[in-house]
Amino acid sequence: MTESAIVGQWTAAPGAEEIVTGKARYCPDIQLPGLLCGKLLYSPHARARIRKLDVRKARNMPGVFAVITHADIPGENSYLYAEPDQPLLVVDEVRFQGDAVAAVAAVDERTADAALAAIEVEYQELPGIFDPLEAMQPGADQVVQGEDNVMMSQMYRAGDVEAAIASADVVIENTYRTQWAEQAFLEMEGGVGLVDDEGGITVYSSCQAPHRDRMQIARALAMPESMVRVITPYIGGAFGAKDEAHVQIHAGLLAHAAQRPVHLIRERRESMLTHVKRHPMIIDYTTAATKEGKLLAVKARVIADAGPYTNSTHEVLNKCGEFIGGPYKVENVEVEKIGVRTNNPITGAFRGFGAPQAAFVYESQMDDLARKLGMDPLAIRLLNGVETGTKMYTGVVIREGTAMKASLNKAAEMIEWEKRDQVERRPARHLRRGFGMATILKGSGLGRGLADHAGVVLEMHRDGSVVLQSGAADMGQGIVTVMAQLAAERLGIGMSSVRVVRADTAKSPDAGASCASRQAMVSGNAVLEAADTIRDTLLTMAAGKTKIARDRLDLKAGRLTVDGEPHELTVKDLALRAGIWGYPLHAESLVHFEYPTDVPDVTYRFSQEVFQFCTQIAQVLVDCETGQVTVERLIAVHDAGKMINPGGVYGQIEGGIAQGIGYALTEELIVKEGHTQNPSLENYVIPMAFDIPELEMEVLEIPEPLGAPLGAKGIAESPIIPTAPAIRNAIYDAIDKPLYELPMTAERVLPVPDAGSIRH
Amino acid sequence: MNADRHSQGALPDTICPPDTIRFVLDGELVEIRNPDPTRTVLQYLREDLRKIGTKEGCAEGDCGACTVAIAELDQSDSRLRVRAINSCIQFLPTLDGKELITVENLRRDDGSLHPVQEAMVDYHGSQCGFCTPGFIMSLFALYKNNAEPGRREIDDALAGNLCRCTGYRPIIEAAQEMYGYRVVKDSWLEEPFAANGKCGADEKKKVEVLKSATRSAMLSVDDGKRRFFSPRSVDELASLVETCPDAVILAGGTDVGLWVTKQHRELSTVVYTGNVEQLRELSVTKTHIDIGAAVSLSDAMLPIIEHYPEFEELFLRFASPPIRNAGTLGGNIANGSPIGDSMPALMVVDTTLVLRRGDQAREVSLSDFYLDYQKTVLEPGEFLERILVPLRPSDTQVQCYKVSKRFDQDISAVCGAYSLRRNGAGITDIRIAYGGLATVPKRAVHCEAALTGREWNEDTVRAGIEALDRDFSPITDMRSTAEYRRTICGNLLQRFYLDSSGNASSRVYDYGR
Repeated sequence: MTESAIVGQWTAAPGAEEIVTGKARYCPDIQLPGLLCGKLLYSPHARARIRKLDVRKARNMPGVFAVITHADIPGENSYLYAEPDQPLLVVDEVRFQGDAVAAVAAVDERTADAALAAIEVEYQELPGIFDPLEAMQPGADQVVQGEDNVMMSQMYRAGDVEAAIASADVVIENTYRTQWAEQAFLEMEGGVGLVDDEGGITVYSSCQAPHRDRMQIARALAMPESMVRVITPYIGGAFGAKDEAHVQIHAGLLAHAAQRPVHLIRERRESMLTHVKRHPMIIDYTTAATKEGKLLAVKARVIADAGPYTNSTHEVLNKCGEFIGGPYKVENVEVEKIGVRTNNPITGAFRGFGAPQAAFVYESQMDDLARKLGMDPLAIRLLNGVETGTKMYTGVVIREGTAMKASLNKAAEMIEWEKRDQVERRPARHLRRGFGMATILKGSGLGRGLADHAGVVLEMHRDGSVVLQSGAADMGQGIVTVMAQLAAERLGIGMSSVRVVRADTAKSPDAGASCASRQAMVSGNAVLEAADTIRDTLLTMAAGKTKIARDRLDLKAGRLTVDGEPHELTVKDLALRAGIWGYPLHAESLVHFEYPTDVPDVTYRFSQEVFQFCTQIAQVLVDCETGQVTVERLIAVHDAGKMINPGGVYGQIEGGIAQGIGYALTEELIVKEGHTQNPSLENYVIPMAFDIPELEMEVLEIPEPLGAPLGAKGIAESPIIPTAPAIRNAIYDAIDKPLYELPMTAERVLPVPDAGSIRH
Repeated sequence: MNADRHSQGALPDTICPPDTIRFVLDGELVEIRNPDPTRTVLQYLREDLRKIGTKEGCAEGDCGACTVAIAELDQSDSRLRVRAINSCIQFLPTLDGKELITVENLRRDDGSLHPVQEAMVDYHGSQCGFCTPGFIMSLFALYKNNAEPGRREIDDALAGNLCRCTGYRPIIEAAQEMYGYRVVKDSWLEEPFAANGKCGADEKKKVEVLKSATRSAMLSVDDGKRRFFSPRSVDELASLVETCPDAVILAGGTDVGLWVTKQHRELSTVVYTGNVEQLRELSVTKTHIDIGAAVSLSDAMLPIIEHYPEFEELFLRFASPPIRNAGTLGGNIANGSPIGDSMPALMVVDTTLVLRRGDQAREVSLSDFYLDYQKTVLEPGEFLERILVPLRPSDTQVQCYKVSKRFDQDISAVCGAYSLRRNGAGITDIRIAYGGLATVPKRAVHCEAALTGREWNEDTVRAGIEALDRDFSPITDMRSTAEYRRTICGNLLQRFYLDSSGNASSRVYDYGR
């Protein structure tokens, strides 16, 4: 390959013009003749037995085309992400505020609302189980009858933790608490279902996993998957919450019941009450070290409030435990992972997937440890940091770990870490300034032992234009741009010649979910492989035509090149020629992510082995009189392997940091007795433009050796992870008060020690 | 919407029937006879016209995905002014006499992009793109109103728009760079603001069209279930309110809109104050800033800030620009929310309200206006006509502090306002008011009494803080805790003492950014 023409260039998304002109269609924008309005009925109680459910009145209302309850579901009445324990429509017991009881489809919204109101439900409210610590006790009332409230309890041990703690010079023990966090994507979940010409069901779905959605819709309808089609239109953000299915299944059920198209779009309140949240966790954490600051052991017990159903609790806790020791060399690790059922909100994927909670804890501990030992926070991290070749406590060997220390050093240099004490620490009577750092690692990909594959279909037409079909959902993270860039680069054509069909299960091979920062790697490789097949055909043909040796030929900027110099033949000429002569310019590829086989003693289940390393440093101001924290500066140094679309990489970093600032300071679903008190964007406070400080970013491009396209790797999740602990450590530095609970609200920051306030 | 009730095309210059609303969209006059008056502009765009560019993200004016721009004649009737508003809580008849501009209108006839759109593409201002049309329209309003915005003005212009993907930086960059693009000559949409800018031919044309859509008689819409009146004079308004005491008085609609979109309430009679000439007047007399009850917050805040610069931060943090553009100061006061942000500040400067019923007017101090949760002294048939904010006495120190989780567009946990007059060290007059601590915004009378006549020193302030416990028993809710509120109301009083004693300032804007 010659120098990249497209890969590595700032590239606007192929749909950017449609987006800025308002033409891009999202689920709520889909219009079909006779489209009905679908709605769901929810219980007013967090836990209740349904004693009576009568929908006859609603069914007989004019303008109502379908009313369904659990009894009307032709197939399986459950979601299926991991365990089929969450009903689509409740059978006899409501177990959280977001459990739906019935669904209607009517001619318009008013009629649908009236139909919901006409459904007669008699609830017997039951005392709920809301405290995970109580729910864990033997003999506690069961959230799901016949099931232990402790849905998961796993212990992972490496080395000898107790012996290491006994031999340590210093031991730090703390208990941390984190909150329910809401993804707050701008487009609420939605689905539009319709009956196709052959009696099958097509669903437009705002989702992260179209092929998994198809399976879930088919099993609910008791229809073969071959009769179900899922299409993703534009998707207005997801951040994990649309990985698990939501109302697209109900849209399919309603369309099937009404035999008409139905759109089912959640309202904001409904959205916030129903989808999975980031798990709130209680983490007891012990760090043991030598007096020189060398880590000897980490011991943690993680209790996650899962809500009533399994969702992705096992997977999230798995990742939380996998990274509980941080990017540090520590041989003795014990982590107990406990998932507990309650009648609180359901929980699951949210950008970072268990790693943000872990990082808040291990990076807070590092600063507490540094303080106890009188060490510099940078020095203690450099002393313990992993590097290339380090064997983690999980048994995983880090193939490329340069970025751990490189990002620390770079970030420290950018903020002039060693000169931070020369900066004014009391810029005003009421203000205290502080600096804090956090460095993390997060894996990309689904993990060892899991089928992690993606397929694409690529076709070049006789005019040189290309269609790329992929099942990878683009929720805004930019996988469509990355795939188009890789195809264009390899085929020597411009971006405008590549059309990416948004994921459609009738056209696109399965690419798995857009999750775990994996698509750029897995689908990226699939695109390269397919493009290379077509490229090979074109070049072989060109060699035949020009009688020039194949290895001197290349494709670039729309032309054939010979020894790098443009030839008169264009890619278009070659494509036309291929068409005329019947050469196939069609390629399909299916790529599996391969895990190295030379590490026999990986002991952690489903371990990830491609790592995103990054360091962030926050400079904050704390107002001692109000407890409010302002992030003044934020330095972020991230490792992206090789950047395919720098605009996309920086976009992921900036967006992740903004979410991280919210997670650190303001975002919290307040849940009382299972009822969410603030299910609105008015009261769930996410950052706005003013809240984002000047971001100083640096991306390290250290090629990833483990099966990543052109050395690129995922970047989506890491940016959110270090932000909260960096801010926490900066607050500690500013006011000499360590915080152990998220979010770090003004209420928790106060009282500030020695603030000179009259009343505290 | 029935086709026969909805016609397009420039109408001859006739008097518009009183039951027909008339506004400009896509360059044409649109007439709708007797629409559902509580239909929102967003529902009209998306559901009736199937113009899907404008999005719904929350349906309560929090996220800004639904932002559109409104152009209307300015005070002189010879120029246009343009403002961003939230279409999700704006009722359709309030468009009467105005031009509605949506994201679809910015693209040029030849298919190329408006500078705002081009900048958003070039600077990666979109990821998922769902918030983008709203940002485009907020940026368009900024583009039309400010030639060289700094970061603070850009942050403020974007304070009504949430983005969850980009972290805002690329959008801020687009805002900085959008002035550098090629513009189409003689296109009002593309002429950026210039301080002494001339009225171009395109704008003149638009002005003429809007003038032709101006009405002199009252708009009176009835869709069979709901009535909507838009009186032109305060006498008309007074007689309407007196004859229909159950009518909902609609000013900016930033709260009433939610009654419909969120609480699904049916409003049978709505009386809109937005076209009442006298209520839109804003003047500064020798003694007062005299603000008509229908003056928008954006307009009302300007003379208040001029006379009380200490209140600038409060008003810039007050909701968001789209909300301040639609919402009125009169509505904020009359609505009587315990966390309304204007009231504590206006109370301590001794604001008086003029209330009107029939042809009778009476004056009430703002401090005496609230009785209990959402209960005021307004009697049936009575409404708020004017707000009289005294000019600042030269020897008075004032201050206002808002404490909320987020800087912009967030509801106060506590909002404290203070006004102090001293004779040497002795306090001759002190007024203290808080929002967020009781069922209504309220003066801290016990605290004031504990301070008046004493020396303005730390001991006095300590006594004042103790007295605050007799004034307020704050509660814990989703915005804060009782303990925090109790602590903060004291800390803010102390802050006022410290700020007033030295030359210190505790405004957020003065630090960090």
